[in-house]
Amino acid sequence: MRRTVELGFLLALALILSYVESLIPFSFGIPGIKLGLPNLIVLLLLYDTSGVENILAEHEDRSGVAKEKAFSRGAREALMVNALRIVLSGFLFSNLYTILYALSGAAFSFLAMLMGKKCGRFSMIGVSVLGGVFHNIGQMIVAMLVVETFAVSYYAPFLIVAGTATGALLGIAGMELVPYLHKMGRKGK
Amino acid sequence: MTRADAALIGVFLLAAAVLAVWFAFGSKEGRTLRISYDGEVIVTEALDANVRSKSSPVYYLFLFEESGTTWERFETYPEIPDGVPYNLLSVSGSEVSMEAADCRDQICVRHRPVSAGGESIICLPHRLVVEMAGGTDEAPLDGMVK
Repeated sequence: MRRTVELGFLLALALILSYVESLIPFSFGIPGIKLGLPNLIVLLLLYDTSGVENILAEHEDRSGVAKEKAFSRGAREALMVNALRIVLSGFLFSNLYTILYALSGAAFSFLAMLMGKKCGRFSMIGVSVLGGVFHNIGQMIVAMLVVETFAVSYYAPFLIVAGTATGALLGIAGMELVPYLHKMGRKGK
Repeated sequence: MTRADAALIGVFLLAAAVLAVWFAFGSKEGRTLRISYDGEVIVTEALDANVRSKSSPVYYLFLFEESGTTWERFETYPEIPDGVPYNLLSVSGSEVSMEAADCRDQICVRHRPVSAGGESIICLPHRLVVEMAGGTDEAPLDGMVK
């Protein structure tokens, strides 16, 4: 029950970030480039160990089994919060079209981050960069399918660079935030 | 930041650079304006690359009516009918930009003007693609001589 409240809190936070992002006139004349602030929440959830159950599990068992369990739960929660965030913010701030693109980008991004994290070689920055780049590539592929043209691929270099830059920034922000989330979780316990 | 992170960022930046160079060499000059709707080419116009003046733009008005999509070419700024989804494209010399559209996201309108080959303006809600095709597409020799 407590976790539900925490997730609701994070969902609200992600929605606010969506809104803030929709307010920032962040345009380079190239469509699809944005900061991706809400992805910070997804990233944190992937890494989140602030949930009471996670911390308990971590204390009880350091063999890695509990950690693995906590991880797949984190992934599930991240997916859930992000899907809800996209649908809600889509209806609040934009339209059905945007929801379609956002969902496809999010799916690519999420899978990339999940695999990046699972392979264990990347820090939060690397995982976030993977998420940023694959979000943009995923949206580009869907755009290609919708308008049935390869003309969209012209944007690929810009989108890759933008995804790398914003991903790295969010990764750094995420790394700074994790200790605070830890603290918050412990206090609640 | 781990070494894998740095390597990953490096790989992405390198891939972007390679793609950018490849696109830049692939098509030098945009000589042909190609507009397609829903994947089908509906307009092709050869542009005069030497004319760069903005004094006399021509306009293409696309109307997405329920009965079908129509387009018309205008020498002056056209009057846009009420209540019909539309895109208005302006072409001045070899520079093409989306003048106005009633789509909600306005991404195509905010898009910077395009002129080089391979560049495009895309209005996703209306499934309209405006492409600058390289003059090298049809006549490779001609492109080199020029």
